[in-house]
Amino acid sequence: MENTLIPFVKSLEIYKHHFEKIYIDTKSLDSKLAQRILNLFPQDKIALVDEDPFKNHKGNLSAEQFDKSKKILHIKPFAGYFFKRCPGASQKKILNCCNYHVLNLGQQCNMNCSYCYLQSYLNTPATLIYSNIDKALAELKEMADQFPQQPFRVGTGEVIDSLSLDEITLYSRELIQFFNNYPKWTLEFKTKSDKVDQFLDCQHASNTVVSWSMNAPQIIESEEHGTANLTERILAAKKCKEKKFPVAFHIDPLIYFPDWKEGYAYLVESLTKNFQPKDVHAISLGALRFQPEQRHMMKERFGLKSYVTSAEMFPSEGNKLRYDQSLRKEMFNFVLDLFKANNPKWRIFLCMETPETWISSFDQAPIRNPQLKDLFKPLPKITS
Amino acid sequence: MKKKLPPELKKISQCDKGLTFPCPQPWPQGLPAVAVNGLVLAGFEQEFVFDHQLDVEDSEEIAKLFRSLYFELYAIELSWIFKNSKKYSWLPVELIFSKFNVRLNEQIENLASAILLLPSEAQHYCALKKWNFSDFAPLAIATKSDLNLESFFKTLCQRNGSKSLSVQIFELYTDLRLMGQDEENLLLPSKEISVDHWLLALKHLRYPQAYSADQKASEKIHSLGNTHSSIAKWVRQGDKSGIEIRFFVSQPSDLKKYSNNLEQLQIDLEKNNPWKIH
Repeated sequence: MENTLIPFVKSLEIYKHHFEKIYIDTKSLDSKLAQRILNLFPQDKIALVDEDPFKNHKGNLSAEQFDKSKKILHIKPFAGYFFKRCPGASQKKILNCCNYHVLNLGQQCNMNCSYCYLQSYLNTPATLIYSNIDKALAELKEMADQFPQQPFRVGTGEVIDSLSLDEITLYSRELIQFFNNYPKWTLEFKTKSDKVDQFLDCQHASNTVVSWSMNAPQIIESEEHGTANLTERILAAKKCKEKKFPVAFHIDPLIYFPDWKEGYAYLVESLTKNFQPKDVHAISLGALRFQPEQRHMMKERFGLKSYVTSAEMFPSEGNKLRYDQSLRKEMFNFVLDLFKANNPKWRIFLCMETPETWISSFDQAPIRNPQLKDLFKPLPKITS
Repeated sequence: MKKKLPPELKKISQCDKGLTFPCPQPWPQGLPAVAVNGLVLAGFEQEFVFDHQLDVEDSEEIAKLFRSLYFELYAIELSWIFKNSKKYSWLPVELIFSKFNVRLNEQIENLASAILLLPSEAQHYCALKKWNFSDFAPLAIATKSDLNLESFFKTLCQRNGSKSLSVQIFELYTDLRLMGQDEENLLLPSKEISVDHWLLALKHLRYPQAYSADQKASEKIHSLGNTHSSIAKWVRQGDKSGIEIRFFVSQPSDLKKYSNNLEQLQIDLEKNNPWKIH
């Protein structure tokens, strides 16, 4: 019962206010997560359900349903396969991708970024958190026992922020402990929150990378609603650094706005002032991109005054909408040059970008870059 | 399960015409209308009707009968069906929609309600042009923002552009209005201007940086002289823009001529790089 007792819920009042309703599947009742939620949240918000309350929902969510889905929490066991490759890997012919694997322990997010790709991805009108993490760990163990020496990178932040609800789930603690047994494997948390206190006391094998999606302060303010601000994210990263957790930063998505150069220069300065290349596992850069069908939902939810919805986006290879290639190149080079000028040892790569953009920014494909080739080296294919 | 009986021929006045919706394809003259359980499904203007008695529990059979009556139905007709079917709870609307490849969900329901608020002239135009629900997607934000689209659709109907151009124009117009542009700047000032030019003008307003860079690059190519501009054209292909080279060879010696021209073009482009504008 350790997890249900640890009082790591600094933001409990915020969560209580945020979630309007919590459904707990009766099959999840014995889980630590369900017990913890029953202890933490007022009983009138919680309903125990024998079957999926959203089973009749079909198809895409409307903008209103998407908004509402952030406020309804559904705890249930996940019946499928938890562990899979990053979506970028399925577009290897078009994109250079970095061998990332994902472990989805839930879906949806309690924060609200205007560009969030979940807007074109989700079709469940609730935030899901899976109660059967033991099954996820069993899957991981099977894989890790098969390839203990391969440098697999496993991220938990694909369809849910890794840490923004972690004070409730405490899944970080179980994952860190699990990865201690597989030092060649890397666990990566990815967040826009500053919720790290709940795992800082954990013993770790220096293979848990805590990473932040970072942006210019103007973009955090105008596009990343409900997230931690830049200072809070940096402070949280410093706490992790002090506890010897490797940290990483994803400057992604780079978003064009009138003062973008000042904004991103400030961001780079904030990072280089607080961290050294040796402290930072990697920095990834990505430019704004989204599925074309997502644009209508974004406009409906955030209007046309947002830097994202009013951006000049064009269809690209792979069908996503992107900035003009020359603007992307300019933005990448601007940020890369700032890092290089500070210290050439920063380990930087582009996320979900085409080989042409790679070559124009780095003069070579990532597999030929000595600092990055480990990340991009092909790994054994996992069949799920 | 009710036993399936042959349809009964009746006067249409004996049936309920509450589902009536405008349909661009007229029902064949002389062919009786079709009803199910007394509700007319097609041929609303006919005098006689074949009324099929089907088990209301047998949704599949009812939906199949409905599907067989229409070769195609698009957003306008389906929106009317959605609205008018509300009083017939036994009518399997979701299944009927799925037979026309539309998944009825809240998003579609909201759009259907917004579509029916459009002026009837606009509805008629969009029905003729076979607009899908996805073509109407900008209507969701326009409705939410109380954007008046009357003048826009009036212009669109008058100009009668192709569906593809109209749908693009609709999205650009909605975006630009919601980005703060005045209606007068976005509607066609003169009948002399083609729908293609209207689209282009809106693109210039919606993508000012990319298009002004493209324009400057294009001017640069022109400034390189006729020899180059006759074969080289600055074009945008999605998120990339660059030079498209075209030439026609009618005899082997043409190739030599073009190859010399291309070499010179490369030299000139290196001196006067149009990509540097971007």
